[in-house]
Amino acid sequence: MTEEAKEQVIAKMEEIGPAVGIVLNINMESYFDVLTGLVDTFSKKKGLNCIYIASSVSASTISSALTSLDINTKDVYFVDCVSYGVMESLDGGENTVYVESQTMLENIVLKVEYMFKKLDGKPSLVILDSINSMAMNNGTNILSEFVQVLMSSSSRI
Amino acid sequence: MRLISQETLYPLIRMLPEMAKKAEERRCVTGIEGLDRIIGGGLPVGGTILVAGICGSGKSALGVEFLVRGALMGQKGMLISTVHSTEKLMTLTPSLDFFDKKIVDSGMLKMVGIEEAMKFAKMEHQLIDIEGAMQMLTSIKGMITSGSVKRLVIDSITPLLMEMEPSAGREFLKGLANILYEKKCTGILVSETSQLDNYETIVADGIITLGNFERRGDILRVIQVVKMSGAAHSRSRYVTDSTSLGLLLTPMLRGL
Repeated sequence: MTEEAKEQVIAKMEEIGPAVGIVLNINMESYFDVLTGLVDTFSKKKGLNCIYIASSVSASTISSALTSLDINTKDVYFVDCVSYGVMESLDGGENTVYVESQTMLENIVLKVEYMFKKLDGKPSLVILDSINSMAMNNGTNILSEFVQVLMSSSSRI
Repeated sequence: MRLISQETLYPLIRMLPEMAKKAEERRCVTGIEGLDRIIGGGLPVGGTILVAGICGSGKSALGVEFLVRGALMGQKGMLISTVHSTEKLMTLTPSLDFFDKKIVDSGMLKMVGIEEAMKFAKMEHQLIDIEGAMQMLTSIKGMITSGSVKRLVIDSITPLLMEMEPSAGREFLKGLANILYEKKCTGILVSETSQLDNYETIVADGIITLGNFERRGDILRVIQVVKMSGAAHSRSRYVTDSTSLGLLLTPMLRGL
């Protein structure tokens, strides 16, 4: 079932063009399979860098999980919105930048822009994981505005 | 509906590149992408721009980046530091990935301490009078002229004015604005105050404020263009981030 979800997500991703946003509604059982599908299978196939906005769990946790799944995280760049808030280590190396809180939405946009520029504007896949955790800390209006600005700035670069 | 004839339209189209060039000559492109966008394409050439804000809001970083980007675009710049030594000032601002030491070695970017400009003016334990202020201006003018300086940053103007008699300070600012205009040198005066009711604001052709904005306990660094002569500029607040790639800006979300 979970492998099936992964295949479905990849197939959908193949269908859509560049510079668009897509919402993936996935259940917990499929979470890591879908993640593997996006970060590893799809990104590598398309030659994309992956900019991963970690707002549910810290970047180090996601990175460890990916490593344990034998996924090379060299081309995965993290915007970590959790570690500051839970006083975790901020030593994620060159591939990780930190935002103090999930409510500092503009700073998330700026960090994604920074990552894009660092990557010389190379095509990238931006993963926001997850919009649910963002919604727990932000109002609907400001969150929709954030998604709009994030998408337009990502498409512009 | 009235249609424009080809005879009218074509000469106008032919004039467009020339008009664009003239507009470019009037604007000093800072090279800071987000900032240029919100100030209407660039700072007015020969203008005096006040960059005001509380400590830690990124004023010095903005000034340094303005000079470094200018030097990389072929415009000579000069930084007059009034508080810290120039070496210390560079360590206090975020290191820029595109900073090349060659721009300093080649003279494209000159950094001087205020002592160099003040050597004629400062009297021990006394405020600088008008005569001293005028001597300092002459010294600065000399440095701008001899170095063909097109970008000047004084970081910061506040302690310098504090060391002057009030009338001397006013004459100094007026004279400095005239020199910058005459020499087509665009100047940034860094000011430590966020209050915009002082003489610096009257002289300034442009005012940019930097500061903090508190939203539900989060402190966001924000920038706002209060005034920019001759430009259709944004008046909104933008959130900033000083990074190794320079100053980044994004619109402040309203959440209405």
